[in-house]
Amino acid sequence: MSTNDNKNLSSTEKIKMASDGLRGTLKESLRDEITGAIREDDTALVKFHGMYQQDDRDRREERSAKKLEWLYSYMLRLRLPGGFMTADQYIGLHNIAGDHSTGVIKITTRQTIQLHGILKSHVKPTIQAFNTILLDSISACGDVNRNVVCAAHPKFSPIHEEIFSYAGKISKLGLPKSKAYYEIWLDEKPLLDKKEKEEVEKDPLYQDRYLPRKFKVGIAIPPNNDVDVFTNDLGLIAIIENDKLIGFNIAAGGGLGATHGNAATYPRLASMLGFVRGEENTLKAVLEAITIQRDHGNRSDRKLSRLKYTIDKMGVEAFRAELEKRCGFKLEEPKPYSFTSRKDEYGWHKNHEGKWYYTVFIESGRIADEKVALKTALLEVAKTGKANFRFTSNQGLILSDIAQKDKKAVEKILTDFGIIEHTDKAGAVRKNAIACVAFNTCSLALAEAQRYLPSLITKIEPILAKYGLENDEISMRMTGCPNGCGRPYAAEIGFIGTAYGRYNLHLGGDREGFRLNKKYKENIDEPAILKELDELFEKYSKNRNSGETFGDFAVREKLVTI
Amino acid sequence: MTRIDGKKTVTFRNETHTMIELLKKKVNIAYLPERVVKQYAAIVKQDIPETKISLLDLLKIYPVNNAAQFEEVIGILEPITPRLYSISSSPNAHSGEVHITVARDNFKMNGEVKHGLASNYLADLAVEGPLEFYVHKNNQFRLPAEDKDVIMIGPGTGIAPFRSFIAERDATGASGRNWLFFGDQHFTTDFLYQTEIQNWIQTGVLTKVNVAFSRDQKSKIYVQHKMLENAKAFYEWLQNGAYVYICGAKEPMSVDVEYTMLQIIERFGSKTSAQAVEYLNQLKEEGRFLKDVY
Repeated sequence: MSTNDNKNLSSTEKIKMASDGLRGTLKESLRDEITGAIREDDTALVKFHGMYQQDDRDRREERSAKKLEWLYSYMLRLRLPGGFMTADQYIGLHNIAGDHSTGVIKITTRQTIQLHGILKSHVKPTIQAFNTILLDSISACGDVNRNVVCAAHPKFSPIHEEIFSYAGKISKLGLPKSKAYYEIWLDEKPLLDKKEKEEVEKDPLYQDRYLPRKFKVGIAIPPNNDVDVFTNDLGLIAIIENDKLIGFNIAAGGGLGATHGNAATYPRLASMLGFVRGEENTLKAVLEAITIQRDHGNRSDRKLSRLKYTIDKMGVEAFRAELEKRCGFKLEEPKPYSFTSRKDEYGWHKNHEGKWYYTVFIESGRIADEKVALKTALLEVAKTGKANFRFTSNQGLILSDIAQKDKKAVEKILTDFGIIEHTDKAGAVRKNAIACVAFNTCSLALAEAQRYLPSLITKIEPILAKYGLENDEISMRMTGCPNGCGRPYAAEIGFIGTAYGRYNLHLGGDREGFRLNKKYKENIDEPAILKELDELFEKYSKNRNSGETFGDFAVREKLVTI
Repeated sequence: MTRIDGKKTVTFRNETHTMIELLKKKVNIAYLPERVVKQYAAIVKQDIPETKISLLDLLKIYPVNNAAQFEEVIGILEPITPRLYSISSSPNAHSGEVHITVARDNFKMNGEVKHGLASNYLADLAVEGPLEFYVHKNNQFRLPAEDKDVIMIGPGTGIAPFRSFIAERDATGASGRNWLFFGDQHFTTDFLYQTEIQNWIQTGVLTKVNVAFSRDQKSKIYVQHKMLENAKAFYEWLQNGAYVYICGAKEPMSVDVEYTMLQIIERFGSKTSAQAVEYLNQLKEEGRFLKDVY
């Protein structure tokens, strides 16, 4: 079946295939009283159930001295297609976060929610609690189709709802058939009849090996590209004619992860393949793009296993031809479209139906009661039952679908808790910044990100002000490692952690998501970052063309070679 | 405050010390028991509520009139009693070292957090600093022959002797099986010797470990609950000649554990409660049921 040479399967591949439908020894791992960790092989499998095993990296030394093991806990991420949640679900989420996790509700760059610091003994209660509010974490991590993102703001199109429904449909077609999640976490009875189990769990898409690596699908609604559509393995761009959705332009092979010092790895934007008409063909094309990656992706080196490498190995034309062959239809020429922005539209907006939307500024997507009582305020809004919650791919939140008659009540809560002032007052760069989690929980982190970027921006803001750039919405993104969760390669200014306190400084991305940046300076610390930015902003303020963005300026001035 | 010369020598219970040395090293001045407070009140002729209080606070609130009165106070003070700790190391595993396992005692007095005298002294002891101690021999609470099975029940600092037992059996390659019950309040912070225990499980010297953390869930779970969960195996071990050791708090822990053993013997030995008591007494007589509780 596989057409590539995968003689040396990676250890993860072997674990998946031997896992009995993602069960592994998870039940035994949960029963083990003397450790907060799970067995090593199970750490690969638990991802498919929406979790990562992590530990508090700040406390490793202290705990070793006390003869205590590392403080293991689990990050649990929800499957939340399109980032949508009802008010009741949000109240549930708020309570679960308090009962079982650090309490911080983290909005991810893929429009979903993750909770950190869940101890092993709390994992089952957490998942069971989510189940009561009809939320799950299936496939939120792991080598499967991940959370499907979709343009968040309903104001962009009267047919947003129709396009939005594709997120749910694509999420569903990419769900594994295994019942392991229900057995392990929700105590459902396992199917004892072997034949029956085989029938129920027969998985034509994933078989027993799942995908070689994570697979991300994003849906954009022009003219906004808030989902950063080209950074996805598969990007769908809604094409609307005469107020009707006629289909999607499909692009494939996006992905931002790279490895320091490994030249074979690189960030890549998706290549445009063509236009697909109608729902049936669209879903077929998505499914078959996944099957090509399943069959052709690299299963021996996980650093080279994303779809982008598969496509570059095959060639875009060959990939398109294979896709057309598997689909049984040809792709049409891509339809014209344009993106003019990628940002969240803060504040109040009204849609075509007269419903109101308030986009809240949430720094690094962390919902907590810190500078302002954001978490309490949002709970109060949820308790009114008058707003839905829509998370954005920019780690933002839209309180949505608020009737004209209810707007005042919501606005009063937001005003009383200082949320409106907090949102209005935040600077342009801060509002558009993204930071990944990094320390203290991410095992991949080399440097700080969400704990550091806010304070770095505080130091950058006076420099911007010095050159009159304080209202310039320069996109600035930081990650603690080169794996790209905060999409730093698609920013005008990207900080990519190399070591503690040090970052590569990338420049030259555009503001709409069509162009990746390039490395400008390597491995620099904060004083050097501030000095570089001071010089860059001075040049930009003096020499920019009218309306020219900082990213475009950096390219025109050849600060980096794109 | 004492109006007395620190270098002055005084006789206290037939020993002569300078005043400084006496107060620093010999007598308890940290938290005076109520009986001492009562006598102090008589000396200074004041009404003092009968409560635990430090000598310093007494002197501040109810000062002595003169040096003579302070010397009178010296007479009512009590010597610092020695603390007995179980040794938690093994000569075979920790050559040249003696380990003890001490929980720093924190308690509140009048809303203020106070530390226990001896545990606090040990906690603040400088690395490489001198420490006066003596060895108090316990000839009963010892490992049995190397081929005998051992069940150890030691929540909290009660784990101390068992760490030495297991380390010893690990170092000497004893063939008997070892089963440890440990408990405390929280898994993440109070699992004493967690990484050592994990290693012992890996290397096989520990056959079984069961842990109970009382405050990690709504209902309190203690070691005796873990014994009940494993009651069948527990009884099988007993029948197989296992030695049972309990170390830690006398009440309620050791009482609950003993009661639980009776339940297990009753149920899995199909005995009446009187027969179970007899069975346990038999164990005691054979030296197979040993307690070091406090």
